[in-house]
Amino acid sequence: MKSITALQKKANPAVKGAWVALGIPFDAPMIDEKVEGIIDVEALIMTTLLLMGQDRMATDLPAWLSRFSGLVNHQKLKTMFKTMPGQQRSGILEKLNYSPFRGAPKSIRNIFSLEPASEAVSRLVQMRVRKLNTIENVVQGSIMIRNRLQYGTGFRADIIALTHVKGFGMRGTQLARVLCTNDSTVSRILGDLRVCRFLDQDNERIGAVESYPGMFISSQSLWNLCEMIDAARFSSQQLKRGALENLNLRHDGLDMKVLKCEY
Amino acid sequence: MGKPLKANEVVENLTLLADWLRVKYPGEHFELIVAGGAAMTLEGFKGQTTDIDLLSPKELPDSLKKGVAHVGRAKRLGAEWLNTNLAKMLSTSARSVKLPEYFSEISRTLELSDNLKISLICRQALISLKLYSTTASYRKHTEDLSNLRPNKREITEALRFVMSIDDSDPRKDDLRIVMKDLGFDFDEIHHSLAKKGKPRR
Repeated sequence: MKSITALQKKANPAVKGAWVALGIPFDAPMIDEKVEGIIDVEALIMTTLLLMGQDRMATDLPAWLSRFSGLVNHQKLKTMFKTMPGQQRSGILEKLNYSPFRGAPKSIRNIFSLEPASEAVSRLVQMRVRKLNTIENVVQGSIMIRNRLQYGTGFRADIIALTHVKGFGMRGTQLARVLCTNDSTVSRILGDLRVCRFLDQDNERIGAVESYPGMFISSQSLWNLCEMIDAARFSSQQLKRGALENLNLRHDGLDMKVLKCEY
Repeated sequence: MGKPLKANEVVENLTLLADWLRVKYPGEHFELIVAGGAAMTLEGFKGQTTDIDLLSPKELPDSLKKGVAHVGRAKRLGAEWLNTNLAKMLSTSARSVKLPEYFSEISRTLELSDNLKISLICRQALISLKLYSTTASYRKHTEDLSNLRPNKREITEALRFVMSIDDSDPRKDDLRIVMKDLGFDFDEIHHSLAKKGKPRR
């Protein structure tokens, strides 16, 4: 990746496509989860904040958060933000402080310690809310949103979503890492799901389920993007190459796509 | 064991480390004190070294540990291409011994970048540490010591240092052989040291 701007340019269409699936009317082809993989809602939010420039995303993301804040796992979002490398975190905060993102609901602003937006900005954000797709259509495009409506906005809904990925390898530690939660939460939920025979002893779904190919955007996409941003800053080609070679792309269709554009 | 590094490769790898640290830890400055074979290589006393031994810091902070691992992977170097084994060895073996003042003397400083400075230990410290590392059966350190061409005053000081840490009979036997190889008489120098006073502890 030659520069951060180039990275943004390459990742933005796919990120916008993911938002189309979640109901923001961007002019980008929608990411079909059944073809590209599951979109983790909080990872998408953080990825967007990391790459966000001065475009419509700045007003439409807070609009989406205003409309769907009840379907956002605040704890997961907070953990992702806190776990990010310090300089990327500061970069995001610097950006958000001068952005219409401050028009997001208080519970979201609190995660980033942001002051509320001016009345004019809040009005603009509220106007954008009207442009969002209906929840009925969003549930068709996002399995995580659908599951959160069914099972509540928590890790249980997300774990159940990931049981649709064949061969995901539902080991507690791996799931906990991907979902940015702790092992005990995951193992408690997996235990429940085994007891009620939703999962077998290998944590695989019992019975036929709609299958998804993997994850298009997960917390791993966020960590990989942070690494790619750093790689663009290295002067040494060897370090750049080394950083890109060490990316873990297993649950990250987004960066796989970005890297394919590059080479 | 890592692959052998020439002086320019030592500098190149440390410069890569500096680049990695600049991006990952912006605004932080790092200073390393290099000893052993790497210091000798950079000073032109030997052609190549297998690793970079540090005298300081005594323990690598996380930032450096991660940087060393990344550069090591990118350049396919051994896991310990930059290590603090020598510093650790000194802090355990020489725990009760106050290191001579010349251990804090620096022969040369290289500003590899805005965020990384390396200093090379002085010649006497190099000689003393090399004499401490020598054994009769493993020639590498004896050859290094021979390349340094120490004079009698320097080898006497080195012997004083080694005896202050370990004056056991097996060690004396080893030193007798090694010093003979280097053209010095262990017993004569040891005797002169004993006459001046017991080794510093």
